[in-house]
Amino acid sequence: MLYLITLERELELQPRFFGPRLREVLEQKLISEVEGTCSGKHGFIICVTGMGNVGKGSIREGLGTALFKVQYSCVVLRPFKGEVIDCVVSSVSKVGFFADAGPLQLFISNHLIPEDFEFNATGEPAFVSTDEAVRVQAGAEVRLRIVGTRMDASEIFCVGTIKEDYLGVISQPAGM
Amino acid sequence: MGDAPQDEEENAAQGQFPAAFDEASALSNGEASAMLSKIVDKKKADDPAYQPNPLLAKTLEYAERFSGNKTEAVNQQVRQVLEAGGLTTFEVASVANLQPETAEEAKILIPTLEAEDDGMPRYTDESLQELLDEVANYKEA
Repeated sequence: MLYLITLERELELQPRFFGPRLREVLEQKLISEVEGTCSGKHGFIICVTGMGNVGKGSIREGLGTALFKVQYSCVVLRPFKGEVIDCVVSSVSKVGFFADAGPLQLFISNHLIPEDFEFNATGEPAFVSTDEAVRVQAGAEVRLRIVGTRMDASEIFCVGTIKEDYLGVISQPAGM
Repeated sequence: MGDAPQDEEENAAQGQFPAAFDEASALSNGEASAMLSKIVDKKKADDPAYQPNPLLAKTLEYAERFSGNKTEAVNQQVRQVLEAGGLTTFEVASVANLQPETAEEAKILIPTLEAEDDGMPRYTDESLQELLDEVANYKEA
């Protein structure tokens, strides 16, 4: 799920930027430092939406650079165990399938796919329901529940399930 | 930054979120796509060479795909209805995203809706259904 959240960060600035454009420089620096990063605590930082209070800079002894504490609001993407989200299937193999929710990658193992789905490798690999009405294949949209998350310094990875009521394929790619 | 406090118990199905998200407000895909595309458009207007970072581009594409093509006014109305109904920020965004049709579906997808408050259910199936029907009205408008 996406959230709007207020965070704080310390920025270090060289003395040559101390001038009337200070705030502008800080904002640029903030964006280049935080946008596109990922932390276990807040998830992916997608986009800075605004910069709030800038604290008084403090000069670092012996360096001449100054540290500024800035508050900013941003959009973050943070998966939580237990939440239900819609994703797009990216690839299918016999052990399960991968799906994407924006930059987030999820894996759904074949143990967490309902039993009446069988793997079919002829043509486009897919999990096909017994009555052949539903195919989980690349490009399909599925609704799943996140059962586990793993956060690295630069990546978030989730494991999901579609083996529950009201979960599963919500739309198949065109031409099916 | 860096390592996650994995020992901190978090479970959206039980309404347990880390303290860092106490003040956060959850966005539905429609709201997020409107907000992010505005920012990208503005930056593009300032600097025609601007390219959103890959993370932002992917997120925007995802949010647009699952936004349900609603106008900003509809998104706002849906939020107002659900907030007035007493849903938490996470539940509001979940209902707006998943658009459950029945109270039963909503309670299964978002189990916190089934929680009890002083021995009384937060929502009876009827009261929840009323909210969902109201949201569904906006979907078609």
